[in-house]
Amino acid sequence: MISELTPLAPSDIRARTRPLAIVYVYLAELAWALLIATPVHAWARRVWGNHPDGDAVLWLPGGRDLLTWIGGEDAALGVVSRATLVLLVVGTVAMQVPLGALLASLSFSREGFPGSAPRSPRARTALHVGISAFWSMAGLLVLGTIAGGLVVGVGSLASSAVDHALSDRLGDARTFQIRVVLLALFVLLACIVGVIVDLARAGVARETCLAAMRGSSASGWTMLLRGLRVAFSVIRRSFRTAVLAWAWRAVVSLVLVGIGYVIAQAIGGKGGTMLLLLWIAHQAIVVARVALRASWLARAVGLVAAVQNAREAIAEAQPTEPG
Amino acid sequence: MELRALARCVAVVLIAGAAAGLPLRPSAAQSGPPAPSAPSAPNVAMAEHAERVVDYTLRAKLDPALHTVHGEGTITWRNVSRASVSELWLHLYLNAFKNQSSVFMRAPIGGFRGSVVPKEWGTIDVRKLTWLDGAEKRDLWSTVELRRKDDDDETDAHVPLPRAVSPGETMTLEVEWDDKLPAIVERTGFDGSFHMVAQWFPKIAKLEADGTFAHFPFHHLGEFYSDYGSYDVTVDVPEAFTVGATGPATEAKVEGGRRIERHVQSDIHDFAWTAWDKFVTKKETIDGVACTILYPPSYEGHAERELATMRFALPYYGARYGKYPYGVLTLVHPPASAPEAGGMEYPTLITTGSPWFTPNGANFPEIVTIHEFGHQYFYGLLGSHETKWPFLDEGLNSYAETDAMRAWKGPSNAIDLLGLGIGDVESQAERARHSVHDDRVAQPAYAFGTGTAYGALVYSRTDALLETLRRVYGDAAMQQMMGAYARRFRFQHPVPQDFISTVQRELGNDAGELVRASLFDKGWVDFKIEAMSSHVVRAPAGLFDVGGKRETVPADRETAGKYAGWVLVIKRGTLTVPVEIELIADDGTKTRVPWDGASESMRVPYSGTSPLHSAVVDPDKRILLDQDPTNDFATAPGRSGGGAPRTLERATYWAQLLMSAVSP
Repeated sequence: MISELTPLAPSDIRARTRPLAIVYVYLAELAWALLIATPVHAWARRVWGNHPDGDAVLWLPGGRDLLTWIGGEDAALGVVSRATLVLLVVGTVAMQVPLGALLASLSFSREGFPGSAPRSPRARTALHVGISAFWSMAGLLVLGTIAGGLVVGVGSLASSAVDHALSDRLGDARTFQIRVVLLALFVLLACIVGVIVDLARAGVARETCLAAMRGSSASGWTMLLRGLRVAFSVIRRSFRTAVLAWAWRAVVSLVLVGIGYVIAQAIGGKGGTMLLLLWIAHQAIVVARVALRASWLARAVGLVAAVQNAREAIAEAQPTEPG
Repeated sequence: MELRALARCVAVVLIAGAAAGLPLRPSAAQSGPPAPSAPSAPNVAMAEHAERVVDYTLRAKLDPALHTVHGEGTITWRNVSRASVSELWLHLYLNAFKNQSSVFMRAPIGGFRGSVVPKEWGTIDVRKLTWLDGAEKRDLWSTVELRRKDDDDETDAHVPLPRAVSPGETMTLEVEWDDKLPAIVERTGFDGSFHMVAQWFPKIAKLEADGTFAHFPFHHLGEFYSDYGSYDVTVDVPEAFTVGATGPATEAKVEGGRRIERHVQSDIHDFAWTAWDKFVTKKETIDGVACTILYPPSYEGHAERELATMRFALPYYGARYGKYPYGVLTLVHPPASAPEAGGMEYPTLITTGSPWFTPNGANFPEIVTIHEFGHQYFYGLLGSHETKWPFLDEGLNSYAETDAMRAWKGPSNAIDLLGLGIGDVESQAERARHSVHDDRVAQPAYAFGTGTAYGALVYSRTDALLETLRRVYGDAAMQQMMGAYARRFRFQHPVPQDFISTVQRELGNDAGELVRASLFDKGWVDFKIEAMSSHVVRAPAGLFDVGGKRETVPADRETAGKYAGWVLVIKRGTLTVPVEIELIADDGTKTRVPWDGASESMRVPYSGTSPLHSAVVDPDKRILLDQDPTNDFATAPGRSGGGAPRTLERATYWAQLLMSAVSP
């Protein structure tokens, strides 16, 4: 099936041409999120489900029942917390497969009927690429998390040191402001690490697919390194373009979360129709965020494809060594 | 630390019911915990002044580089007991920080403030203690017993007198001493150039009516107990320093590079002061009281929040507990590096605190401020023995705090942020729930095994108890009771029985017993719906003679549209609290049934036109003492409750957001 794929030209890579891929990713994410929510939901249902108002009592002003629930000595709290954390971590790793599939879907097309436009790769084919690229993608996730964590950690230490050094001289407020700005700079740096990792993911997915099309094979580690190499090339050549392309979408995503908060405040959603409305609103926000993420990844794939294409062109232009 | 006209009507009905010995029976229109009614003054006489027992005329000179205070002056003390006194006891509480042999330092207590070893030790060294006995000057310090046998604590000094002091006789003492302030610990000390000077002078222990002294070493969990009197204190600090002190500054001058301020205040039982060269000052007269707030640079936002708190609290507390009798109030917001100095009360001076970035909606500065201000009443004006009966100041004051916060900010008065609404009293009740069986509430501070139990029981359990009383007996009745207690015992030294008697008098014997058992007997209560049943009403089967004819009524003949059932509610624990049970039918009809809570269980009968769906004990959440609110409800067999759809929706959404933060 992979053989039917054709790499798209960078200018043709658009998230909007892959709505089904976006929906599949959203559904995969929703399914896992439901799994993550299951322990806490089961616990809430066991404790409060028999109340005529159900768990709505947890959200009454004053929060007495909420405090009773969370602050109680119920052994379930530990079990639920651990199970939720494990599911979250496993889910984050497992989601590298749909991520790889999405990237493959964004990067390639297959021939349409004669005379018609190229079509999206089959879901099965994209999924196959996602599975093939899993180890490289998971490796990138681990590396990215470590690198981002280190950057934020160093930022925390630096801001703490600034706090100790300046608080006597500048006062708490000014020192705190400097500390926040410093920490924000490090968080921004961590975001740039994230951008590089996304570019590397795009490179890995594309390389994995191209290798399969050529019938060649390479280890996950090799693919990961190739992905990182191309990501750094992109950053060297198009740092501003890449960061801006990620940044505006990230800002819109955050705004959407804010809108979700405002909607939740307005609707309340303790139960019945209002809760259904809130669920729809929240899911609409999640879909929009997935679409924004896909849009950014499409841009990342385009930047990566441009670099990879240029490299291939250079390689092809080099004269063959005389025998 | 921790709403109007209709509630007043409700409360009147409830009081009338309670007074008549009737079980509590609010109508459906009165559902929900009672809202605070507008404060009104109980018709109880209130002393204008305290009995003047001891006057301190002192002069204190601060060396901010060495963190020392040199003090000198006179103490005039009157034997107001009915017995001759042949000894004095002096509290030298700065010696609590002298070494690790002090009672304070060696107490194996964690879980509360002051649990760290100070970075610099603190001491108080008395240089002179002379009795001006007529023309004769008698040196008392040479015979002092600073320590007990096998005890290195030096906070409680015994001073034998060369002759007895008769009842009514006054003695004048000349005193001189040197303080070395500790690095900030347990409310006192220094941090850089910030100085919080408390428990800093030799202080005569409280004289009891029988001629004995209520003296005690400074304990980790204990606070203070003193006689009322007048303080005339002159504070001498470098010119660049700003001073905040108990009482108004009657004189202030700058002389030879020194700032010298004289503060005079009567009807108080302690004196504290602070000095810092970085204080920013803001002043405002609120409800006739000159309020001064001293705060670190750039804490303008906090200063405004704390002043706003006082704009609410001064008139509110005045109406509830009697007018604040002093002309001044100083609020001190310590620097962030000295949080141990924050959250403390002294007469007319309180310390607040919270981080600079505390957002609006996280009402911690407001709670700390209102709590410490409340101590002007429950410690300042009602001078109970804080170490022996800590619930009388911290417990009652915690109730005053949560009551005021609710009246001011509504039910979500502790946190109202990002959709999360948490009440001060609810968090206190939750904290208390975990320590109910551990210890008695009414016991000396030093008898508590841990600081956690002390905090949970003294502060939180007392608060939950009194809030339960308020919700059960009504806001107006509670206001009357607390107001009567605060007024009747103003400028006195009330003991637990004074409070319990007031509860009995104002709310009835049942309430008095509830309070007594909760405080002294580790009283607890847990209501639980044990079982319930609902069925169609069936006509009795058999042969019946009706109108001269014999009719056979077959079994299982249903009575159209009639259902019956019952709910079995059990009460676990030792307390008797009236409560309501709400029965909810399938068609949504709700019926409230009152229960006096005196027996161990009650089978609540049900009859209606629809099957019984569910039942809830204490539907208005009045009983904050309820040990386990998760067993207060049940659904009938075959019926289901509301489930947990909102938790599922929220948890799913948050999981989606979390996952997308890392990858799609």
